[in-house]
Amino acid sequence: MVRARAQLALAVSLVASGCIAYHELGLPSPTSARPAPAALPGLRAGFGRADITPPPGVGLAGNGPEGRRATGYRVRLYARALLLEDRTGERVALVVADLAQITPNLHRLTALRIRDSTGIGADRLVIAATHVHSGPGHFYAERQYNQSTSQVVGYDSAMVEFLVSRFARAVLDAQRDLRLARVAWSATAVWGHTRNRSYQAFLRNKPEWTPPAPVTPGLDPTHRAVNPLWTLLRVDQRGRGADSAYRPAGALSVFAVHGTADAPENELLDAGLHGIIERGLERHVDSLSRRGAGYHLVANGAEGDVSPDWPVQSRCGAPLLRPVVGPGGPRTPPVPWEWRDPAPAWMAVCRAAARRYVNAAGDSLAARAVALFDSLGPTLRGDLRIGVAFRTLRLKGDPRLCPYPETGSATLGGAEDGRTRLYGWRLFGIFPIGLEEGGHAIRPNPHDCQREKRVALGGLQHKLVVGEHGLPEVAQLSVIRLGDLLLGVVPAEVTTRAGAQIERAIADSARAAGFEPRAVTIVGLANGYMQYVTTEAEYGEQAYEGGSTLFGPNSAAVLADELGKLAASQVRSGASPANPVDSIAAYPGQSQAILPRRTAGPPPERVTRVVLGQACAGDTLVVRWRDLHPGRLVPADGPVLRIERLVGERWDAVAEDGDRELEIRAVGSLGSRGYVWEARWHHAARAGPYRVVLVARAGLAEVTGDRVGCD
Amino acid sequence: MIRPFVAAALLFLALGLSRPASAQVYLGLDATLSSPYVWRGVTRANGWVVQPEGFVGLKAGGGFLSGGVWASYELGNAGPSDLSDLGTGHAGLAELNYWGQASWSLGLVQAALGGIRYTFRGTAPTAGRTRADNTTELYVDLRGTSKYVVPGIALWLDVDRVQGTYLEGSITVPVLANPLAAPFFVLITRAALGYTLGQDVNTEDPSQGAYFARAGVTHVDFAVSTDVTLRPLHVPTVLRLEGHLQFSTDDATRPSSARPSDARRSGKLWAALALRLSPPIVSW
Repeated sequence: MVRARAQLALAVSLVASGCIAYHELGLPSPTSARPAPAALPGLRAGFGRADITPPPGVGLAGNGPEGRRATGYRVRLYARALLLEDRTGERVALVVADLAQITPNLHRLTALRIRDSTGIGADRLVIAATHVHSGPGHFYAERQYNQSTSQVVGYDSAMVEFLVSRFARAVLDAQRDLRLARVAWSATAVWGHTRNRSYQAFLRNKPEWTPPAPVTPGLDPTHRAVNPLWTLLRVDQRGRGADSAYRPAGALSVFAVHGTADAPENELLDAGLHGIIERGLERHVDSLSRRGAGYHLVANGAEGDVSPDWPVQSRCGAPLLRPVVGPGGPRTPPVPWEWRDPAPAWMAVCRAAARRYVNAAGDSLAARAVALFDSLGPTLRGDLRIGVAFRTLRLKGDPRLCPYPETGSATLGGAEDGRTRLYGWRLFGIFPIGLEEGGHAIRPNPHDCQREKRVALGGLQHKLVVGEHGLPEVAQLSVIRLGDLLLGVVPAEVTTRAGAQIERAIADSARAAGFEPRAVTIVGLANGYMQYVTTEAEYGEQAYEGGSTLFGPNSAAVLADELGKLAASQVRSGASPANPVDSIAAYPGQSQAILPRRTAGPPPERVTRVVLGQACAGDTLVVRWRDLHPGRLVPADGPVLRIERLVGERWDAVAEDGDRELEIRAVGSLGSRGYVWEARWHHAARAGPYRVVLVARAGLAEVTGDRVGCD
Repeated sequence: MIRPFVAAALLFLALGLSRPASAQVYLGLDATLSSPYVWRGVTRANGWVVQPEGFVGLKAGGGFLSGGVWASYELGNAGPSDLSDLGTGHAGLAELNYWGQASWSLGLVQAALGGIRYTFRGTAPTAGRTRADNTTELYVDLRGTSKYVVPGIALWLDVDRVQGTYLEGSITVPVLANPLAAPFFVLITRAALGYTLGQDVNTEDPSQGAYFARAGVTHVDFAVSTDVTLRPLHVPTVLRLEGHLQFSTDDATRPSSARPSDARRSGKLWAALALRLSPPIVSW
């Protein structure tokens, strides 16, 4: 009874804080053109890349109420595209973006944008997220996600346009880059960098886990309870014109690891662990190709319950609700209580610990990718066969699933990677209300479709808070054939065992249809987002992942069945079957101006860019300068600054905008005179002197700061 | 080693942006609408009362120094069966308080120390409070902080007309709060117990003022309140709604009106709605 009253109060409050308004948006259904053999016989491949780093001020999506407002950026966010076309004209475009999730609106609108130029519609376009938790939000197709993925709430159609235009640019660049290519793929086991964060749920599965590769001795059970396979497709391209040599161009990797290596309290836009891995191999490819930029797309696998092996000191602790001392007296209505962060010094320590881990783990994983990439050189071939099978599964109303999506109370407390401030909360400190993993999050008397899931707020969630269209309703699924590798593309975070179940279903179906795949790999978080998918056994534990399996315990079985059918249809067709693209809608809520606009602050001609000050503190060079307001200054438009070091008589660039040791923040407005920005660069004890160069941008000339000694 | 840090500090001082303000002055305005008006468990007026307040606060270090004026207006003419500080047939300003307070936070303990001057405007023969009741109190208020339970103790020492102490122990428990930033709301429950140690009738010196009939526990109050924080025009504004259920144990806290039938009530309900604005107006 007490619990019911508390939930009623919470529901009423939530409803009061935002009435249910969906603002239905019909999404386009662009279908691919019929494949036509290319003029050049053989496999062709092209790469593209677009910067998607928005201006500071947006919410960092992925950590729910702990996701901060971005104050700046560190490692830039990118969308990387790989376009492949086989000798029969079968095409597929793969995009991996440094974002927490991908939504159907991003996918469909990008497909519409590229359809006429590339012949690629929604069925042949895969857009996957690295799942980094330090990218922007506000683009979700579902209202509830726009309301809850960070402290900055709301949907902004400008953010959708910002991302879609850049995704499309990356694919169109890849189209322009199409050249004869040779590819090879393989997989290797990478143990020790990941662990199963919901081990109790994992243990519920029967039969016991048989790892897909021999286990490194000495690993504890949670580190063994993951899929360690790193799958890498290497692409070498032939030179243009007279240059007929094939040289390394890039790669597509798939590896299961959550993008949660950064501290949840991070306040910078940052590509995180995946960004370090991407760049690590790209630098290696650069050094081999002698053609300039290399490309490394790092998609996520069955990472639902797989955490990076972050150190405990990298988690700062969620804010606590505290009474507040404020101005006033004995007759004054008291200052409201507040959620208070841990002490700033502690926050700085844990953020720094997380950064050290991100860099070290990223370097180590990049080294594994480099080794795998290099090992594929002798096996490169130009006869890859491509095939795509695609369908839009309507989750809502599917008789095999729960009639509508519902979130479990375990979800509200957050996963081990980033507990929210609600985790473990008890009413009056005594009565548990299910804000935990397992325990009281498990309904003791399962009696409906959601079975063991204690639905957060009970029936009120659907009736009052989420409503008819607040959570996902469709899943865009596809099976991509790349030679003897099958990719099972799912719009979800599937757990290790659920992933294995789906991979097995795909392999069995393909085999039954007459094709023996060498491997099947899940590509998660692609073309949409339906939160998590656990196995039926794991669901009974109601850990975070089970609570977040929206459509009930049968979800993994349904996805396995559907993807199996897609695999079979793909094989039977010989290449790609007819892939109808059904019409779907988005329900994002009313658009608000959250992404800083290009009209913010004074125009470039009225702002004098100038370095305001430079100083060294220990191994950190700190620079402040006056520039345009965020919105007029969009990091994705190009580099903002670089740092140079005097070597003899010459100034050499030692740090570029986007380097992992360089943090750039928007500090404060100067009104009509511009905006103060700050760069902090950790120069690893290399002696200066240094200087900062503010790079020329549209309407703004290059500005060079004075030299500053850092001894 | 120190020199670079000094240089960095000087840079930021010169730029004046990264450091938090070392001091801030706040202007506070608030108003409470209440019915009845209950003070320390005693029903002072059982009609509608509005209580505006203005204050200035200085934030320095981790604490605040504040001073202000608070007033209580009885909105309707009191009838013969009403309790009123102004008396039957009167409405308007009934009480004016002047106060000063220092408050600060020390780890898990928050403290407030201050003084308050109570002045009353009742003139009618039936007035609950008149100029003769004007008095001064010094007080200290301490509370601890923890995840679920915030215990508090407040001690009020009358140094003028009443010459006694009133103690109030409380336990505050947050029930829920919006985990997202805006609009922020929090639901709080509080149980308080009043205890008089000299603010009751002094049988040896009847000329001494008193608020209660006898020494000991005066009342137990159970309250639930919700604060909603809004930022219209970027001014932090708090809307507070609170409801109380009081169990009275003293003859002074029992009456809920002047009717004889209401003189021995052991329980009463009351509610208040408050609006508070306290924006910082100067920082340096």
